[in-house]
Amino acid sequence: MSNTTFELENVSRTFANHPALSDVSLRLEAGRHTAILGPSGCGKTTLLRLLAGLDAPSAGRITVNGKPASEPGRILIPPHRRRIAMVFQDLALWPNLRVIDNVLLALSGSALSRREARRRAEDALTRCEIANLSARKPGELSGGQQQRVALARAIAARPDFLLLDEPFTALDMLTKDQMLKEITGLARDVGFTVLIVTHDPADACAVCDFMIIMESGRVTDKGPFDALLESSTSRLLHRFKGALDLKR
Amino acid sequence: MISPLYLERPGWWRAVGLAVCFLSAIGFTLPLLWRAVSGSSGSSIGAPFASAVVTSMFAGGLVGAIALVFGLPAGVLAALYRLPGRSILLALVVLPALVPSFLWAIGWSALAIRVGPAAVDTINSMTGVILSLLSLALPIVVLTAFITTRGLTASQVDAARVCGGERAVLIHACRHAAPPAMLVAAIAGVLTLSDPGPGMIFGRRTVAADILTSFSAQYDFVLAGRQSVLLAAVVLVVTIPLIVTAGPRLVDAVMARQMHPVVPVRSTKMGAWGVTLFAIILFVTLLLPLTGLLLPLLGGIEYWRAFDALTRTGGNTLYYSLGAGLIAAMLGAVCGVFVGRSPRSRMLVFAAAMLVLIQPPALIALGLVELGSSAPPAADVLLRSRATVCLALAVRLFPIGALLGMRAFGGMAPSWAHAAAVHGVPLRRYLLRVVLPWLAPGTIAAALLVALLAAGDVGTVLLLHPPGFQSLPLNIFTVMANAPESLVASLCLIYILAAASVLMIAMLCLRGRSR
Repeated sequence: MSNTTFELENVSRTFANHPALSDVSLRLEAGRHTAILGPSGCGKTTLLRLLAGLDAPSAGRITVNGKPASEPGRILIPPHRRRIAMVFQDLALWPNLRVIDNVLLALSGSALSRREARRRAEDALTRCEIANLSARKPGELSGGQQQRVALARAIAARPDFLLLDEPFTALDMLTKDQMLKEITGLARDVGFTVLIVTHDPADACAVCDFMIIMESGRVTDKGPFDALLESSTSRLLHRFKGALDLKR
Repeated sequence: MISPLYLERPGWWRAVGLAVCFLSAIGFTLPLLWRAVSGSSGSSIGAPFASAVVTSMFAGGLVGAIALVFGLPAGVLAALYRLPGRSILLALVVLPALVPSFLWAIGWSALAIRVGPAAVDTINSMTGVILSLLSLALPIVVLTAFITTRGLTASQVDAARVCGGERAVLIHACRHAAPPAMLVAAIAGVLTLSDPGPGMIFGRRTVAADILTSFSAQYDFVLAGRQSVLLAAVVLVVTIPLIVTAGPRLVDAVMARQMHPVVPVRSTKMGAWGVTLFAIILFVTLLLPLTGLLLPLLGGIEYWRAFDALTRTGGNTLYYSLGAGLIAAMLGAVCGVFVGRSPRSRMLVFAAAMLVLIQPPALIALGLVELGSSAPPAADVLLRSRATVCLALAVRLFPIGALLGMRAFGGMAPSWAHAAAVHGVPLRRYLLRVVLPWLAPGTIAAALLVALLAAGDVGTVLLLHPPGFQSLPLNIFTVMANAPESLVASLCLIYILAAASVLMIAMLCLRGRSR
């Protein structure tokens, strides 16, 4: 596992005078699977997009391994140089490409030879148990299969961090549980760190050992999962805990 | 490496690109506008032209109103209920709009002659003009109402159904579709002002026929220019308030969104109403004039003479129409990319596109003539050749390409570019592998639709075609008075069959792109 570290210093993001993220300071380290938990509209996805370099902060700065990555209004390190991969909420599969081509196109920006890229793509599909679907197009697959394609595309690049933006909202509970288990296994085998954004505490505890709680664009709590559940006085966290107990 | 994220971000290059697209469209008219306004030579516009404007506006208003009364419910019913053979019905309804209206005028005229003197008296009046122009207006209102109603989500319709049954669904859908349908009906009425065909065939003095006569019979270029400018001004005064008020709703309806659209349901009663309405529309816009048009074929088809005319004009028709389709569709697709996801840009481009579309075709054509007359010989390739016809038709019809281009680009999820950026896919490769294949069906459909509309144009081709390079519709238009009826009918049949085939291909292209 690598030593990639993301650091956010007093980061804010405003959309048309509406603050989506306010004064967030965080440190995310490789090897520590982290969940960003919070209700809808609390700024989780905005935070993830800032980390990925898809958006620039309005204030504050983000560093990757100590190097400035984003400053107000500027992205200094583009997304593909941050050693990350991302599974989007809508999966963002390119619909006109076959499964294998979705993975291959994602690898086309790397310096890999064609043969090596093909080998990596096939390996990723095999790991995600969809090698037999490589000739199909995303529209011909079920929701769970599409999820696996998005995952295969993400892990083929061998990232240090895998960013998951509520990717399981459209899945049934059984498929979701299975996917979460597989992600945990893949993270161990491939060696990436998971950063998952979710509003479901069950998703968070299935994969992660560190939790960041967000509310109204601010980080209200953070810490190791179990310790936080026991010690925190946050009302939101207690509501999450109640929901988690209910699911268990 | 340029990131695919640029496609999803705002930037100055978008405004510049859009300005270039639209300036190139209206730029051709500027020398004409200048000469028409400042020139002292040529006749001045007289009372007969003013009277023609009033007559044309009356006809256009009536056509728009009738199109709205029948088109709105038909489109709404087709979107909400499963009508038997819905796709075929919609294709048949669209077909008349893709055929030059003067052909329908010939059809009505021929039918009236077969029926008897009373029918001739009725048809050879404004009634004939209005019936012929309905073939253009009704289809576009039906289509607008259909597309707008399809813009409702399935849950909205279900909610209305739960509250008050099918009656509530219909009321809700009609309220939703009415403003865009009214706008399009008005625009259709305005478009009829630029159509010289029916007026000339039924001997009614319409404004478009007057402009054509000024230029091609009286050779008074300045007068024709002034008349075009006046007509353009009238059109702007009528349509700008409509576009401002109902435009945003129409843009919302036309642009693709990611949602669950209405699923048509079975309903015997509504289905019967829908089929009846479609039957009435098809009867008036297609069946009756087509019968009149093809009746002379009972006496025999003039294979050889029709084939001879086709070989002389078919190549030119294809050249003009496909050339215009290609230019307009490419320009439209580029326009779609420039607009991006900005609602404000969409609205502005939509308004500008509507304003370009409803301008009299003669304005652009005469503008090119004006430019060509003062340009150096080196510019002949562009300004005094067959390419000039393509250019004029493309400029006039490029708004259709722009609308379909905006719709196609809007159908792409922003996350596709984000995913490409995260994985370091270069912009060029992302464009080639994802964006262009996605835009291709819409662009091809736009090219085919523009090609069909361009193929049916008579005014622009008449004003700009080099000697000996007539198109098929222009050939029909020029020979219809002297040639045998059966020859005219044979040529019309060829044209309608070709239009129907291209329409089918365009529909298949659009259908193949649902995600």
